Amino acid sequence: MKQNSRCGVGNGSCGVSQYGSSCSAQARSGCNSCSSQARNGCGLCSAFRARPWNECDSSCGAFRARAWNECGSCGRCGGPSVARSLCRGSCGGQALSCPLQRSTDCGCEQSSGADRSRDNDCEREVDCDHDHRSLAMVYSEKQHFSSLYDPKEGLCRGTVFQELNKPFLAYGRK
Amino acid sequence: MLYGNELLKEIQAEDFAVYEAALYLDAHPNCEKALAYYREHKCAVKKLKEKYEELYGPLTIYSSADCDSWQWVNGPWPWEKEAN
Repeated sequence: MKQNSRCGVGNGSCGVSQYGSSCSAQARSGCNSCSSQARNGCGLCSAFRARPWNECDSSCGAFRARAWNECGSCGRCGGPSVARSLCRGSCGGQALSCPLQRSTDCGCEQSSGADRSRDNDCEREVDCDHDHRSLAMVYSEKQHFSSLYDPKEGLCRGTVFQELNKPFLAYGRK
Repeated sequence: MLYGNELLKEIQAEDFAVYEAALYLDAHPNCEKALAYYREHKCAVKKLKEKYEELYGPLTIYSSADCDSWQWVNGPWPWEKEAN
């Protein structure tokens, strides 16, 4: 099921597709007002591309605004006074809650990259380093030890972790 | 039912759970929930294997010499119907 939605964001409109490839391109084009220096120097455009697109569909405007303004990617935003709590949970729920610093070369806000915290039940570790992700480097969320299949079902599905059960569905098939 | 097939399936499933827990623990070595899960299923595997070997003979060559004779050859070979 292909769904495209368009929404007004910032000073232009952006097209957001369910599919990562087309969305990436559109997402970048939606940030035309960002300088190339900002996009390259910050390298954070992919922060929101990693999110499920159905979330993007429903709250594209707000999300895009956070992704580009409050989460410190493109420099179109305001200053470092942005409320960090607004970023938490809205952009993947991880490092975007890090302290923000304003870089000097491109006007972008960036995470300090030094903060790392862990919650109490050993399920989620927050790693601020993802704000400094590089091209061609793979990033993955930390896995949680919860929602397990029983062993027999896990063996059939190829994993006992429900959140890792990602059955392959042919493109376009419901 | 072929040669303890259901029991073998249980062993495989429990073994799989142990391995999954081990992989998780590689990245989260201090997770108490994962450690408890690992211990629980490791214990289950051990009991199931003991039960299987008591009923059907050794699962591996490492448990084949517990008797006076070499038991390993008494079970079906992998290409025989009974083993599948």
